Amino acid sequence: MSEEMIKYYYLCNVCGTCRQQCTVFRTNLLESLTPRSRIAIAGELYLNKMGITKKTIESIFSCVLCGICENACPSGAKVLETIKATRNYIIEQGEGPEDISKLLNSIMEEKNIFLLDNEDRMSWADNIEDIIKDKIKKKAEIALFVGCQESFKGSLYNIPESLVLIFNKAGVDFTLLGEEEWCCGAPYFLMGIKNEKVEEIVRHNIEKMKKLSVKKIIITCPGCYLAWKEEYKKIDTELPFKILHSTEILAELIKDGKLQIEKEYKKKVVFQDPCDLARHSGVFEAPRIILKNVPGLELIELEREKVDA
Amino acid sequence: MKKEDILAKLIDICGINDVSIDDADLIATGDWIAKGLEAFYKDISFKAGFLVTPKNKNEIIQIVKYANKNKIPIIPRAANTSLGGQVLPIKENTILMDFGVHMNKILEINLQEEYVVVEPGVEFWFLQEKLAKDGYFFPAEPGSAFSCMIGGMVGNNASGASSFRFGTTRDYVRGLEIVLADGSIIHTGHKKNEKSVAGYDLTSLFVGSEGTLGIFTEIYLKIQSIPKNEISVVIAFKNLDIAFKAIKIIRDLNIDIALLEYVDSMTITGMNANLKFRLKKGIIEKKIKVPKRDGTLLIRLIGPKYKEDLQKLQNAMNNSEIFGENLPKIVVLQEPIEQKHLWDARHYAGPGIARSMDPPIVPRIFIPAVLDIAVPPSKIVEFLKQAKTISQEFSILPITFGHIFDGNVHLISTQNVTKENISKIKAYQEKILAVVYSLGGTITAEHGVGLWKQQFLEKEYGKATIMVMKKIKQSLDPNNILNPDKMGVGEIPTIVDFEGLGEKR
Repeated sequence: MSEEMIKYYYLCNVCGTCRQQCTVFRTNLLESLTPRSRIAIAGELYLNKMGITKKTIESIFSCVLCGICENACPSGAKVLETIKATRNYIIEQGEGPEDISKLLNSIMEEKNIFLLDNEDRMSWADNIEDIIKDKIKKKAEIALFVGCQESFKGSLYNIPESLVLIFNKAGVDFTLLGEEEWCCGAPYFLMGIKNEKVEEIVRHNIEKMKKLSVKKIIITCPGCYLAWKEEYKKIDTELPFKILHSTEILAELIKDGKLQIEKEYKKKVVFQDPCDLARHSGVFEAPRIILKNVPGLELIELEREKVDA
Repeated sequence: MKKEDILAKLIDICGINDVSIDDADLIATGDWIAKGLEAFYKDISFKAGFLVTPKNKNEIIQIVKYANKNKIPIIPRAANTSLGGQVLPIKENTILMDFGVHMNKILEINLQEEYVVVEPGVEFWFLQEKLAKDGYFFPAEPGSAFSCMIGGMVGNNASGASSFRFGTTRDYVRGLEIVLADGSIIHTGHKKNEKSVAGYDLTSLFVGSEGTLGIFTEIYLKIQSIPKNEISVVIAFKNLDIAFKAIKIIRDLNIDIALLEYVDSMTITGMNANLKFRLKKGIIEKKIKVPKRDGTLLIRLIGPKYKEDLQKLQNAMNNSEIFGENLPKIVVLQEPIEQKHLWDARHYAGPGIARSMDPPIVPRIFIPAVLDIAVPPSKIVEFLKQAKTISQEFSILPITFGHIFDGNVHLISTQNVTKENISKIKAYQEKILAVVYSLGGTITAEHGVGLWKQQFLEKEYGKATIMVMKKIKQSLDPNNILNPDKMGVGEIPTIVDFEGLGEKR
């Protein structure tokens, strides 16, 4: 049991400001699903004043870790740290949700979150095989880390595919790990689990990138991006790569005049900042630079945007 | 009464999804002082027996009738933000009745007659957002504005920093629909009439009754049009004496002030900690810093003449004939968003102080009795000075801020209660309260009596007055089922021997 569980129990002044912000709570308005209740539950578990119950699990695991509560919290409670530590404790007690166990086991066994054969990790690139075939595991300064979701989920194939087509057009040389890419490990970090097995996954990805003399790693998935940017450096403090979100390199290419968007799109669009990219990683401007450079496109900001999204 | 029988009945009334006996729903998550008070009461776990989330008044009536027949305690609960232990369960098998899940609808908005009808679980901020679209608001804003619900506000007669200008919740409650302890339903007041002296003012009796007399199912609130324009000013004098000299001058300026707050330098530390955090996070774009001086006043001016009023205020404060070399630092905030952040920071100064310390001060058991006192406004300087002297005598670091025009001072001590210092803290509390009473003050101006402050009520009012309160309670709730043993009208739970307190924690 980690002390992180009790760290903010007394600091939280239970003002309930987090109630107004928490998106999970607002869907059902149950007090046990407020961030302040999650802090209380973690503390009571730590103090052995209550046991793990059905609603405890629901409360602790339903949090999406968006972090908006931490922005609002006047006491500065680190709600996310508390929740991760409590998840870890519940999982260690064998009481974690079954689906979570399946997902975590899948990462260990198959190196991806879908219990699929990792040999199929390049399925997403079937339409662009000609461009990609010579890129896999070739040395290059820039590497694309695709992530499980976009590698295996058909509806998301177009994301890495589009990025490759853009790179191709802009003359950006890049490499990929192919079937040697393993899950980034983010689901373990979200469960507060840091052990040798998780380190092994992280080190595998790092070593494979190092072998290809990579200097910049480009990631489209904000979840993988956050894992690489924040968690990997905790395991390898001398990470020799610059971690960039795909929007960051695209914005750079636009700024440098290497990428020009010619086709006009006369549309009004909004950009919803992903929590992992915006609030947790501070990337706000890059996506907006891209959108503002699309001829005819009108970007409308949502009432709650950037850090407040 | 067997727990399983109660559970079966509650499920029969509300359905399985709206009744819980799961610990995660029953722990006292929502009262700041619960964590502190736990240590003061022997053998009380502060854990409810059941959580029910009724869908309508018919379910409430059925639950209350059943509870009354079987003498089962009920605590009506809104947003769980009370500060006196009001919603802490202290009796076995307590039914916690939560209105936030289902009974959270605005039933009627009538702009012509300037009233709204709401259920108790409507959140204050939500109502304000709805009303603002039509240029209206419900002016009784408490410090918990981001989270509190109307049911709780009415139950506790909530108020805040702007009460001297706009009044307290009671001033805006035109009437109520109430389920009494026997399950009968009554209506008080008139939702469409501002004036009525027909009979006893039962509305006023129920407002602020902390759930001890009845359960509100509908609340009729008076609303007002939002005052046009506002501007916020920070006036930082060197010390308390000069600041209060200035207050006397401000009072005579005849300007429209919505808020006037005194904050000490520790409070400013807390405010700046939160402002700095917001700036760092990118939540605010421009740096706002409150000058750290012991005689600082925060003022919000409103109304059509606000520019003229600001000029009058600045001229008066920059008058070297009066203040000599002690002219204040003045910061004017015009942008609505900047003003919002300033006042947010003031609302959250207490937690801000905790976060500004390294390591953060975490008072595990603090001194609940001196948190929310009020003295006559003319005595406020005297109180603050005496409180400072007493605090120094006891080596306790006090944090003070207050709503100057109504005499309400929040005195927070960051002292953590331990076995070693508990006697000292008890003596400190008694000394401060002696000052409060000697100046003709009250133990609670805003936060309410709840559980802890019951012990002081008799001292404040005398036996005869408390007896009248008890008779009212007995006549309306003879079986003592509604929030029993709170508000000084029941059996006051025994407080643990102070000497043994440290051991429990």
